[in-house]
Amino acid sequence: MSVLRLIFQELRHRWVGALLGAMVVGIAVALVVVALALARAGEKETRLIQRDVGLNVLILSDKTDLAGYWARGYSDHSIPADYMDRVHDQAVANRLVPLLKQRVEVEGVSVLLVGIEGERFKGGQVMKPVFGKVLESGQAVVGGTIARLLDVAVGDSLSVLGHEARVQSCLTESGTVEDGTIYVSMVDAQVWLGMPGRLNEIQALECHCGEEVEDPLGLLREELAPLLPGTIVLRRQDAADARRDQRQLAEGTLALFSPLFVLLAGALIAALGALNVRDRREELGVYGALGHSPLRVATMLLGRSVVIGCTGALTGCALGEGLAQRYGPDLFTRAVTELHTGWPLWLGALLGAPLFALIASLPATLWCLRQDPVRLLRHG
Amino acid sequence: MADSDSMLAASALSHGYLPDRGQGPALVDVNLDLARGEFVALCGPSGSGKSTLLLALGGMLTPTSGRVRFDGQDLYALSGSERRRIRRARLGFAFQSMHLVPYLSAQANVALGDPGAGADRRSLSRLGELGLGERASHLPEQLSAGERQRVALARALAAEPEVLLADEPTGNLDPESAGLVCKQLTAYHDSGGTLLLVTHDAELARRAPRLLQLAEGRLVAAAPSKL
Ligand SMILES: Nc1ncnc2c1ncn2[C@@H]1O[C@H](COP(=O)(O)OP(=O)(O)OP(=O)(O)O)[C@@H](O)[C@H]1O
Ligand SMILES: [Mg+2]
Repeated sequence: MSVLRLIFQELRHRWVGALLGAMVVGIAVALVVVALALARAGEKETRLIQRDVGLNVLILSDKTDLAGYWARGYSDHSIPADYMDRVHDQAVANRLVPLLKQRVEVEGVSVLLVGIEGERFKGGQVMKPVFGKVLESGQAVVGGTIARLLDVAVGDSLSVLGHEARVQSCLTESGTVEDGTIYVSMVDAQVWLGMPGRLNEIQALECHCGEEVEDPLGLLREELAPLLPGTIVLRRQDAADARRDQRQLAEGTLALFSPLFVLLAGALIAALGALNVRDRREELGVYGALGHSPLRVATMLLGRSVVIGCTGALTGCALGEGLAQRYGPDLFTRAVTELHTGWPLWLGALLGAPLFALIASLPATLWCLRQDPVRLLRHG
Repeated sequence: MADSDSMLAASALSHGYLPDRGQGPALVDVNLDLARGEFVALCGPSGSGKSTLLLALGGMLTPTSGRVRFDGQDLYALSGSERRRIRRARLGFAFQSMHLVPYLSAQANVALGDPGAGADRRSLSRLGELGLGERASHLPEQLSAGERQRVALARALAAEPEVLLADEPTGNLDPESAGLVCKQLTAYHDSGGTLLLVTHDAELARRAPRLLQLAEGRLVAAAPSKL
């Protein structure tokens, strides 16, 4: 009888044990899959939430009267717009958004007019923009309070500094400075304010949030000063620090739990493999007594572990993926795509679970093969 | 002792299972010699060491001291794999407690003892000869103790070994089945096999030309049995 047939006969005969074994492997693998999916989605979601908390680096002209800036919300001094072309070559700030801000009157209401342009990423990276839509010339996005005061809605026309702008969207009131803001395209703002080729503010996200840096602001200034002469760099301490801490926590969770789960699953599978060999001592004594080769006996024992490992891994991947897809979206709203664990992890599980099972039953198998058959037969 | 016609021999064979726990030895200085083609019965009270002797002779239990010679080779001086090959092809063993593989049919269990091609067919006819043709596809748990015992004997005979060591092969059998077993053993002996049989069955023991008696691990009498 071929070894493969022996393996399947044994599995069929002790089907409860085999099923339990496959279930344990399956649950262990599913746990790893779910844990990794959730941790990954959690990390991504944290990053997205934090990004929206706001940009935490501020670059202004160094002539800016900072007290005035904080009072009015914008700088009286501008910097060249082509500074934006230089920000690729550094690694401390990302998602740099150029802004041109000025306080103006629109139909009798004092408004913070903000010209905005698509953000730039460090090192030419491609990412989804923070400010969802890049405005085209002639369009305006109106803050919630202004929209209410001026009584405008999407599609209405608005006269800003004698120029027509069509309302592309109205923001809901959010309790921030945004409520009193009208966003227009950078080009429009530069023309309407008579400041072609100028900006008065760059906002960005600090980059090295992952690691601990002694003096983050010093590092920022050191990197950015040579690229952007005549500017001053400010860092919103609390936002930046909170962001760094939160991100470290999310990454730490992922780094801590994935190997822990894998190890726990491995230990469980190992225990089962050893138990199976223990249960089969008499039968293994029979094969030994009848002079079957150790290789054949080993193949039988290890083959069984591999079959159970594979079955469990397949079930576990399906189960884990299903659970992550079913319950993940209840936790995460934006990082849903990260819940899909994908084939590298499945492949890892499909190779890893049988391998764990195999390695786990190895000591018991070797022990068995070295015994006088009689010592094994005694356990009948 | 190592004359050319000696098939299986023990010299100064002793074995203690748990000497460090104060248990007395199971075998003490046993000397015996089975000539090729000889049929010997081994008797003795329960616990006298019959099974222990058989296992040591069968290359399955390394004795504490002494030697076992199989066809002139010192069995326990051989490598494990050489000993294994002898068990596989040249030496049949029917265990007192059967030791069938629980998930294999009677026929597959018998086939396990047969290294040759066509084992399935041969094992079926072997079972037929022992009155188990109808039971060939049954699992051990579906067989009676006596049926299992006959399957174990069929497995021991499957490789058509030169030596057969059978440990109480009729222990659980009714007279009719015992007769079938007896017939098989006689046929095996008649075809030139060397047979050492442990039995409490006086009828069966009487068929052996030579009878050995064990008591407390020692061979106490080695007389030709009275027919
Ligand atoms: N695995 C073991 N560990 C410890 N002692 C053992 C073991 N097997 C047998 N013995 C002891 O060795 C002695 C001989 O046992 P053995 O099985 O050879 O007797 P036996 O003559 O075959 O008896 P029976 O007729 O009941 O089968 C007994 O005292 C027994 O208790
Ligand atoms: Mg016995």
